[in-house]
Amino acid sequence: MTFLTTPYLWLGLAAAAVPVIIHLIRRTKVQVVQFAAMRFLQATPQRMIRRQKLKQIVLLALRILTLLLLGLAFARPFLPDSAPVTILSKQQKSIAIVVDASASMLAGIKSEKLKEAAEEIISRAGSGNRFSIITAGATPQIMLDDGDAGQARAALATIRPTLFAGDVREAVLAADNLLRLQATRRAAQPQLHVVSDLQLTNAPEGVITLSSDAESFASENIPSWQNVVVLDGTIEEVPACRVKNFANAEQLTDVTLHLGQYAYTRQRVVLQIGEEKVVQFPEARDKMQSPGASYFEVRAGIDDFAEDNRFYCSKATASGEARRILSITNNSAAIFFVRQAFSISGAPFRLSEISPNQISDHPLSDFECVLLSSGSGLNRNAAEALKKYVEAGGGLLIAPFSNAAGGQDASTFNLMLSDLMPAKLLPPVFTTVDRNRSRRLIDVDYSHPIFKLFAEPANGDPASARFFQYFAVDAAPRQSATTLASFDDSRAALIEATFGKGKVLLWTAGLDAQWSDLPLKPIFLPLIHQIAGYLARPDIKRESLTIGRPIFLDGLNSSQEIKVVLPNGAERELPPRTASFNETNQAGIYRFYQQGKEASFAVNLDRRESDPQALSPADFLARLSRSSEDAQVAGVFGGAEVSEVERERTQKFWRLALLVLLLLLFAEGWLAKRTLR
Amino acid sequence: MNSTLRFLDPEILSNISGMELRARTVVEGFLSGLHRSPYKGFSVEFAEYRQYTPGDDPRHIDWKVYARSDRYYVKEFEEETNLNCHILLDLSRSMSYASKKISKREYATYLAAALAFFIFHQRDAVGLIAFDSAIRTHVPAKVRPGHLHAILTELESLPPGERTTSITAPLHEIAERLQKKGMSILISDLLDDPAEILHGLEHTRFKGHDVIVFQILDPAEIDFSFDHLTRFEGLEGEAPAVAMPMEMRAAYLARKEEHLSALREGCGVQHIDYCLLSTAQPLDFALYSYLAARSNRQ
Repeated sequence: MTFLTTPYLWLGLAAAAVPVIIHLIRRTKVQVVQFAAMRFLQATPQRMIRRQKLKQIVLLALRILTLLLLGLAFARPFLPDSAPVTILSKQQKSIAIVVDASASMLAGIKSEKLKEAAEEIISRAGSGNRFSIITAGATPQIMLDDGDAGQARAALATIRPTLFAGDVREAVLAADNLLRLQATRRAAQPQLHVVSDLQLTNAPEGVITLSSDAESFASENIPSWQNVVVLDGTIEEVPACRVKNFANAEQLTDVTLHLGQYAYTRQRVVLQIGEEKVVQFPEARDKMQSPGASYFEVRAGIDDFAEDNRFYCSKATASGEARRILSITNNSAAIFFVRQAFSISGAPFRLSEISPNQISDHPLSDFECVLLSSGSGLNRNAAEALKKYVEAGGGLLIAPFSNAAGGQDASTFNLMLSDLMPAKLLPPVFTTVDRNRSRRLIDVDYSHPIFKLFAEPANGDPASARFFQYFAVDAAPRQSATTLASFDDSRAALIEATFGKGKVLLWTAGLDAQWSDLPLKPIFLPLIHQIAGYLARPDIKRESLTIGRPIFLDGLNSSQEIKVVLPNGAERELPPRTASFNETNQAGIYRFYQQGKEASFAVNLDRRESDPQALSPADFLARLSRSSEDAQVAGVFGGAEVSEVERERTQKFWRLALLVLLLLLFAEGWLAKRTLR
Repeated sequence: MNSTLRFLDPEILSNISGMELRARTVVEGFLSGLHRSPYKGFSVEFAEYRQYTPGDDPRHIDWKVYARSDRYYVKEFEEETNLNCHILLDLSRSMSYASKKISKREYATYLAAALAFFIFHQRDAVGLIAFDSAIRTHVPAKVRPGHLHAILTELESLPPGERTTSITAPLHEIAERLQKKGMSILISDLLDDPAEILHGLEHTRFKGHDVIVFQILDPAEIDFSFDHLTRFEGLEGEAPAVAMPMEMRAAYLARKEEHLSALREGCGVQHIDYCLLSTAQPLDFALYSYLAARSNRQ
């Protein structure tokens, strides 16, 4: 038996000496009394005196044992190597198990190992507890909500690794949310287990704040796995690819370029541990320049993780694309002129439209700039997604729609996007639109990239537009905010602020023709393009598409149906003018056909799944924090010091010690009443 | 306890110096608590009239005077002694036991003093006989002035008692010595064979004396309130006994009760007034008992 806090045991032992000392001091003291009524008195038989002495010894033993048990209980003993004893921890537990279902689980026998780990958690917890199973794939998926052990095992059996990159952060937050909701329904001890390979490339950045007080445990590391990966490839000039050795030994591998189903050329490379090499295929250059060849496939390595040994490359993904702009609005009329401005022939922009309540479903990182004009339906999750997007370098233009609901939208923006807003929106300056009363843009910062174009009068005059109504803004905008343009009453028209790596612009007059005639002026189109071009992320990479990401069908915009051939040969029909194809759940070449036009898109496995380097469970748990300060300290399987806490917590021998102590105290009281002092 | 009765507490009395003062304190405190005049008088010789005060016996109101003056007057008579009272005080060593501040002997002395004071002020002759295995002090019963002082002085200078276990012999001796009929008040712990004690008292009764017995016991002797393992050593030379009070209490109490019952019943048979007193009790209880016994004798 081991003890968690040994000093208490020593204190208990020291205290146990006290009754012995008292007993020894008082043992020999027999009271002597000069008494008169001796005729009524009878001497006690020796037998009874001996019995009393025996009782005193038993009483002494009880008292010593009581103090020893007290020390033992405070020392919190536990059995170091035995299976956890759960009979003393009767409180029901709500256990949420986050199981990694990312693509890296396909490597070797990792998936089985993780399932075994999850099974062990269920077995260890016992049958009286409730379980929830959440998979960490591209998005968290709840496989079981508050079921018993049998249902949990059944749910585990259905889990299959996906081809997506895992998002452990979201899955942990989803599990935490489940536990919090379950806590409102019944009193149970919440526990959060994360069963994952804890890949460093997929590790959650920053701290995850849990709202429940769940004890948290991360599974110990899965044994390392060997992997050689084709990182990426290019079809420009000379077909080439990058290969990297993630194995812990030197690797000799053939890198093969496939055209269609046939191996066109092959190169043998030697990769040292951690070495990355560029492999070029000059012999395929002419072949790839021919009009019929639009894609190729590179294969390399035979290892534990076969899925990343292939890389698909197509001309469509390599060529420059239009900048993707996302409009978030509930009212199509609000962006009528914006839509027109972006859809003119040859414009380097591609506009997609969603409503605010769809924000959470769309990966904002696929867009270079976001235009927000409706507040209705904007919830906390959506606001959080927008915040993350801007923080990571995205550009956001906030332009409240100039209608009756505009005031309400402004309030929503103030409330939900208080961190992002360059300034707080106040009620409109004029309550009605009066065409005879207008303001003009006077104070414009022509040195700013947006207005630089208009420094040359021939390119348009911002002061030509008339503004009949617009939102006032807080006189004390954010510290980082700069006013780029003001009306002739000195009120701000366009304010810029930075948030993280990204930029936010606030346009106070709306981008429709209700509150101003700006959309009707020649300056509108270049101004909108300038704003979008300024906000567009300069660092966005033109990488190949990964599984789960949409394919934007920029060139296929005629009124004919679109036929798509999936990598596995299956065919689908898409309605005309489909903006994007989202069912990219397999790696390979996706071919789209419309009116004799063909476009091929390569979709690959996310290479973040290829790196076996992992976080330690302790490091992972260190990234979890709790909203309440008195929440339990996280425990880790495999970490020596913390696992003692966990073992002790599951065994809870101190409760048994206190129970016995209570019984002993009763016995002591009973015996003390019957024992002569 | 009210302010007057407070002085009847034996522990408080022990703090008062002077036996006469103690006796006066007890008796006056006792009398102030009475609602009925205790002085009935046994003579018939008229002394004087006195205005009636509440508490006086209405039988003594002179109705003729009332008819003449429309006022209540009571007739007072010159009292004359018609009682010889002897207080028999046990001085044996067992009387020196005290579990608290007051020993049985001290309590008995205070009681004797209070009774003597009380009787003397009723103009009865009072005497004192102190004894252990034999009579140690004998003050004959008289009513002359200064006699009370002699008794109280004697009570203050009583010799220590002997280690004797029997009071039968001195009782017989006292019975022989008291020639004139009267009243005998025995104050003792009576820790002796009940049959022998009763035999001694019978002798006294046979001589024509009214007998009142005050048995004085310590609270520890009454309820045996010991709890530690104890070695009991007898004050009168009895063999020591080691006892566990908790185990032996029941047997002790049964024996004590048997002893007291024998005494109580024996006294009843012989028309002897018996009163058990604890040294924790106020002295007025004893005085009440005395008065009750006197009333019965009238």
